[in-house]
Amino acid sequence: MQVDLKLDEEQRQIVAMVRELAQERIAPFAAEWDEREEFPWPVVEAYREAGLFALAFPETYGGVGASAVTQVLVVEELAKVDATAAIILAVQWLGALPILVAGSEAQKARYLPKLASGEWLAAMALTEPEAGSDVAGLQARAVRVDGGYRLTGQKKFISHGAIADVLTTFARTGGPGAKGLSAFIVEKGAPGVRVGRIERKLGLRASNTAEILFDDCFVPERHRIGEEGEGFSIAMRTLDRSRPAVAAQALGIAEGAFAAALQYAQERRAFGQEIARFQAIQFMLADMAMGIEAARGLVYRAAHLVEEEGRGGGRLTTANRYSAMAKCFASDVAMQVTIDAVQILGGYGYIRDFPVERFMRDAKITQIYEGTNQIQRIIIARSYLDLAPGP
Amino acid sequence: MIDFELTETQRAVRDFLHWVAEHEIRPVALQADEEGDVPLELLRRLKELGVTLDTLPGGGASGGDGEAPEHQRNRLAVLAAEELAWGDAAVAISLPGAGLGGPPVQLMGTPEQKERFLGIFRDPEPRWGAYALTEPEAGSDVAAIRTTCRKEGDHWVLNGTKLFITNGARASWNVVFATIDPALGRAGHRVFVVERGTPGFTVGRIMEKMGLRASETAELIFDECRVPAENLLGGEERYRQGEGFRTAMQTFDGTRPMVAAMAVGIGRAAYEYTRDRLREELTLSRPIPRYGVIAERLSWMERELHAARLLVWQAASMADQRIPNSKEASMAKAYAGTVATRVCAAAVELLGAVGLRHDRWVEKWFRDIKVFDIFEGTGQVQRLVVARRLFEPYGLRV
Ligand SMILES: Cc1cc2nc3c(=O)[nH]c(=O)nc-3n(C[C@H](O)[C@H](O)[C@H](O)COP(=O)(O)OP(=O)(O)OC[C@H]3O[C@@H](n4cnc5c(N)ncnc54)[C@H](O)[C@@H]3O)c2cc1C
Ligand SMILES: Cc1cc2nc3c(=O)[nH]c(=O)nc-3n(C[C@H](O)[C@H](O)[C@H](O)COP(=O)(O)OP(=O)(O)OC[C@H]3O[C@@H](n4cnc5c(N)ncnc54)[C@H](O)[C@@H]3O)c2cc1C
Repeated sequence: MQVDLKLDEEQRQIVAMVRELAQERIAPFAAEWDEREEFPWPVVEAYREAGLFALAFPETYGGVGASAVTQVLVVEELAKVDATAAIILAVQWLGALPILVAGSEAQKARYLPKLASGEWLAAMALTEPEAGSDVAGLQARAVRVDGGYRLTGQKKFISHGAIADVLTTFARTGGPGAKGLSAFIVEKGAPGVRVGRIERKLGLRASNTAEILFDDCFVPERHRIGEEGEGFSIAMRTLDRSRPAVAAQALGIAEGAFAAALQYAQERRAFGQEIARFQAIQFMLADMAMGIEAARGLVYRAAHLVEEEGRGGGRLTTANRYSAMAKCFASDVAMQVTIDAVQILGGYGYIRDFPVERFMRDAKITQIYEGTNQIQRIIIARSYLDLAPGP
Repeated sequence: MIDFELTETQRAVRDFLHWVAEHEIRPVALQADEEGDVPLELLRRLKELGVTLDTLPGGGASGGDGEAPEHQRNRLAVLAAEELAWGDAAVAISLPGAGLGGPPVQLMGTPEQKERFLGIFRDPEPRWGAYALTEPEAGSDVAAIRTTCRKEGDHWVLNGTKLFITNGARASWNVVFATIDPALGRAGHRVFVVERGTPGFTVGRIMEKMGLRASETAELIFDECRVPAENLLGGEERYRQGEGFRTAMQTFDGTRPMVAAMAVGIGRAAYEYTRDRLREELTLSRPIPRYGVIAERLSWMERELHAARLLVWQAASMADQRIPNSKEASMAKAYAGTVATRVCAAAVELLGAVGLRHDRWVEKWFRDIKVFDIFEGTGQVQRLVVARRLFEPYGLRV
């Protein structure tokens, strides 16, 4: 399917390069990684070689400084063949964002170049067993001690949690509610950090999703990001900027499934003709295509707004409405498109020989993480409503 | 007469099978999914308890089901199917017995054949029959099967491949649809019972699937496979007017409501799990009220499943009263397959990350459910069947 937004020459080149990389170094192996539930290190290697990690980092820190639109184009392209591979990039950028939006010069200088090259991997650990959607309800505690903090608590469902060299995380330094939170950087191997269970999941099975346990873990003061009490704000400023990438994953998954269904429908014959001649199939394809095109418009628009509004590290407003729409809409489309792609392939859709069942399993997750779609709907509605804070 | 009350027998069957589902099937289901196989131990135990596929479908295919009153057999079957699938659908379709192979033998077999092929299920050891219609190049388009058969003396020689055959590898015999000449279309179809060990019959791949992973889905290969003439179901006489094809189709009138009932069973499992889990969660205090959305989604799930169940009951009840039910059976299947898939998708979403976890039930139900819109006639095929029944009386061809 053609990208009908006007890409500049550089974007076109990057997308072409990523497409080739995806075809050669990811597509042939994705099914096997999924089956084995093994983190695909060869993908990390491929991104390092191609310099993909650098895209989202400023030039001053060894990055390329590519726009948010370019970033989503790349994630989308990768997700067309394998969502797990796509989030390897997205999670790297997510993990770095708290430092990008609120880190000190020293923190930026220490971490960003190594993250841009991919020498180090990053993760962002926000979610806890009792606080997913409800970020203000985080329970992990950081108690002030001489020279820093002692962190205690449990983080759950953290992408790349077990393999990251740098973890940006959030814990309570003050009282209850949003104002009591602060952000920290924890390096791999710090005493008192332990990796708990690695989740086995419906989809993104090769992706590393881990539990992180902090037990009296010492974090030096210089590893606090921003001010004490700024944690909630940093988390929100991070998610404000990362949402278009999740939307792009969903979009890519949908496109991958659509392409597979489209090809199959023109090859498979029943009742003496290609099944693509049946209206039942054509209507499904038409709905898939409409959803994808509409999602694409939203995703690129959201990325564009994030780019415009996102310079500097502040909170975004207009962009959030569209990021929330893009994430919610694209992931709902991805779910329906992948379910229908399985349907179009019939019995073959249900078995592992074809990629559509994997796409269907992967799509589900995009409706849930980085704010479930219910939360996105709340964000969208509130962006229009003019209500005083409720009871 | 519309009567939604269950009879004493129906309630007893339902309650018993619910107990079995909860206490025998559930405890092994996650492990079975993980290992890709149902433990023989469980199947033996279920057989001891009298829970086999023959006590269910399109009517006690292999005898042994004397207690089920004739006039409520289909209603009992759908109640049973829902409960067993609530326990685990992969186990439900792996239960010992003639399975989908039962109805064709029952419908077409000579008394001698019925005794020979269905008699084996009286054995206390679990045994299976299977139904092999689908081929790599012919699924919905049943008339397009390419597995050939030719008569050679007192044998038939079969050549071809069957795909996606549930229990096909472990079965003592498969009901195999073949054709004497593809050019003849439906009229060329012949139906055989091919026993395990027949020369020229081998099992190919066992398919790796998204869901129902504990259920065996096999490829069957027939290479100059020599089947004794007495294994042609019903004898040659029966095939003069395309009986083979009609049998393939007739099987579905009884089995589609059952498959639809299984879809309802899976959907209900997902619904109940989500409801109970969220009920616990709702008691925790959260700063942002979310009862509105959750209440709406849960009541929507219950509503859709209930509507699907009523369609299933109607189709089954018509079958019991010997009223033609193709339209209703297909409506039930199409509706249940679609809504149960949506319900399972919603369950995952409502539970957040927990819904995706491999060691929790809902991700499994989400993987299991999709095929219920595919096998036993895809959703599109069901809609075609309904459309035909709607328009053909007016002389319109669909
Ligand atoms: C594969 C995977 C990778 C992940 N990676 C990361 C990561 O790298 N870092 C990280 O920090 N987290 C990560 N997560 C966690 C993810 O962001 C959370 O799962 C998500 O935010 C939802 O939180 P929860 O699971 O606790 O669900 P809950 O918050 O418990 O929500 C349960 C349900 O209630 C609904 N709900 C909640 N509040 C409301 C409301 N106010 N109104 C209406 N409905 C509501 C939700 O939409 C959902 O349907 C990951 C999760 C997965 C599955
Ligand atoms: C787990 C599993 C177990 C199974 N068990 C058995 C078994 O025990 N025995 C057995 O014989 N088979 C079995 N099957 C096969 C199953 O019945 C077929 O997969 C099913 O009939 C669909 O056929 P197909 O896969 O060839 O799809 P196709 O017929 O190729 O259909 C592909 C797509 O085209 C659509 N389509 C086809 N024709 C039309 C039309 N005229 N109008 C509109 N749309 C159309 C279909 O709806 C579907 O979306 C099983 C399959 C699975 C996955």
